[in-house]
Amino acid sequence: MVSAASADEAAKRRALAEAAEWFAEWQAGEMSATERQRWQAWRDANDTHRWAWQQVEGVSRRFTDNLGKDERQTADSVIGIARQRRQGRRHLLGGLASLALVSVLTAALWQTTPLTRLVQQWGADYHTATGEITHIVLEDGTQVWLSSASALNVDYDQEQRRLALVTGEILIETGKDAAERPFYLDTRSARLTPLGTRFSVGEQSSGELLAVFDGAVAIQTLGDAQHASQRQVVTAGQQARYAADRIGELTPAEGRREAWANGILLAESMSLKAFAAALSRHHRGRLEVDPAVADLTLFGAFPLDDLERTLNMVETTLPVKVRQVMPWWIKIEAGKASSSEE
Amino acid sequence: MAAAPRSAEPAAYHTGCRDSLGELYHHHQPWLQQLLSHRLGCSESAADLAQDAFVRLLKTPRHLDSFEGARAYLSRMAKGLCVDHWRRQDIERAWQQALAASAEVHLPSAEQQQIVIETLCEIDRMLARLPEKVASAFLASQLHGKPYRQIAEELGVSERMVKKYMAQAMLQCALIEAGFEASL
Repeated sequence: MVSAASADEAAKRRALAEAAEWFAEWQAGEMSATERQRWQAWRDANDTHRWAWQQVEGVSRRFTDNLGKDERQTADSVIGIARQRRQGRRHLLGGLASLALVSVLTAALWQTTPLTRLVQQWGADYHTATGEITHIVLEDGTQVWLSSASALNVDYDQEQRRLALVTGEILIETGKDAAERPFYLDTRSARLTPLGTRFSVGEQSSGELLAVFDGAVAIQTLGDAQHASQRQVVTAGQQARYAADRIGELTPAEGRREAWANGILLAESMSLKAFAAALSRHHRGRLEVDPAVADLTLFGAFPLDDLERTLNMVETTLPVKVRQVMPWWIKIEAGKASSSEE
Repeated sequence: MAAAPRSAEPAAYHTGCRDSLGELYHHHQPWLQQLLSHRLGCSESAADLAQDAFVRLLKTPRHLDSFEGARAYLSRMAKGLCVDHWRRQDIERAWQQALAASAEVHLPSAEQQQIVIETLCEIDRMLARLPEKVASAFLASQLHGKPYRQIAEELGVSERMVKKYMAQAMLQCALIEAGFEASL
C-alpha cells in the first residue's frame, strides 16, 4: 500500500528530475522560443512543478549569491583540491586537476548569468540576446536603447512611469509626458529619477554605473542592513559608480557609455583588458587577453557587431596578434600581426 | 562499546525538552567528547564539536528510546561532524593556498572570507556523492559560465554527455536542497 505522503514524495522526486533536465537545457544557452514555451508550460502545469523549479533556482543561487567574480574564479580549484585531499591515495582523473589549474591562471571573461536572471530576462517586457541592440519608443515618446544581453520591464500607469532594468545596460532619452507623471528607473541597487534628460546605466562587475549626457538624474540607493539609503544628483557630463550601499566619486562621463547605442565601441584611452571585457558583452564565446598586453591602451571607434573587423583593427594599431584557438575561443597575445615576423 | 545502563538512568530521552537534554548531556557528553577527540586527535575541536552536537539536538529535537539508542545515534552524529570538520579544514586550507597563489587579487574581508568558505563547504557537501567528471562539469558551468562545448572539450566527452552530467548534478543537489537526501 502506498501512503499519501510517499506518493507525494514520489511525485516531487519525479518533478525534480524533470526540473533538472530543464535546467540542463537552460544552461546550454541555445533554447529556442518554442522550447522556452514548452518549459513555461511544464513549470506552470502544477504546484509541484513550480516547487521543483524553485528548488533548482535555489541550488543555482548558491553559486552566485555569496561568491564574487574573483571568488568564483578560485572556487572550483579550492573544491577540487579539497576533493583530491579527501580521496587520499585514490588516483585522480587528470581532467579535474588540470581544469582547476587552468581556471586559476586565466583571466576569464565569460558571461556568467545566474539561472534566476536568465529566467527573469526572458520573462521581461523587452529583452535582447547577446550581440543584439534594440531601440524602443515608449508611449510618452521616451526613447530607450537596450544593449546586448539586457532586459527591461515597463510599467506605466495613471500615476507614474516606472521602468525596471532587470539586467544589462540601457540608454534613455526621456520624453515630455502630457500628464506630467513622475518617471523612475529602478535598478538592482537604486532608484534613479531623471529630469528631462539623456543618460545610460549599466551593470558593472560590482555595482552599477550611471552616465548623464543631458539634464540631471538623482540616484537614491536602496541601502542595506548596515548602510542607510544615500542620494546624489548627477548632472550632464558626469558619471558615477554606485551600489546599494555606496555612491562613488563623480567623474567625467565617458563617451562610450552612449556610443554603444549606435553600435560603436568607443575607446578613449581604454586598456585592452577593459576593451575586451566591453566587447565580450556583445559576443558569445570566450575572448581572452594575455596579461602581458592587457594594459596596452587603445583609442578609436570600433564596430560592436563585427568582431572580425574590430579585432583586425586592434591588430593593426597595437603590437598584438589575434589567435582563434577554437571557433568560440579567441586569444589576444603579444606579437606582430602577419606583416612582420618576429 | 556502550557501557551497560545503570538502573538509575532513564530509558529514553526527548532532546527538545531541556531537562531531558540535560540528562542526555550529563550521561553522554564526556563519552562523546572522548570519541571525537580520539577521531580528530585534537581535544579542543572535540569539545567544540560535542557542543555543536547538543545544540543541534536542541534545535532539531529527537526521541532517543534507550541508553544504547542514544549512544548509537550520537556516534553516527559524531561521524558526520568529523566529516564536516575535515571538509571545512580542507576547504579553508585550499582557500588560503589559492589566495597566496594569486597575489594580484584584492584580499576579501575576514567576514566575506567566512561567507565564501561556508558557501564552498555547502557546494562541496552537495557535490560529494557525484563522480569527478560530473562535478567538474557542473562547477565549470555554474562558477565560470563555460559553454557546454568548452566543457566537453576539456573533459574529453561529447556535448550531449555534458548536458547529462548537468542534469545529474542538479538532480542530486536539488534532492538535497529539498531535504529528500542527506548530503555526505
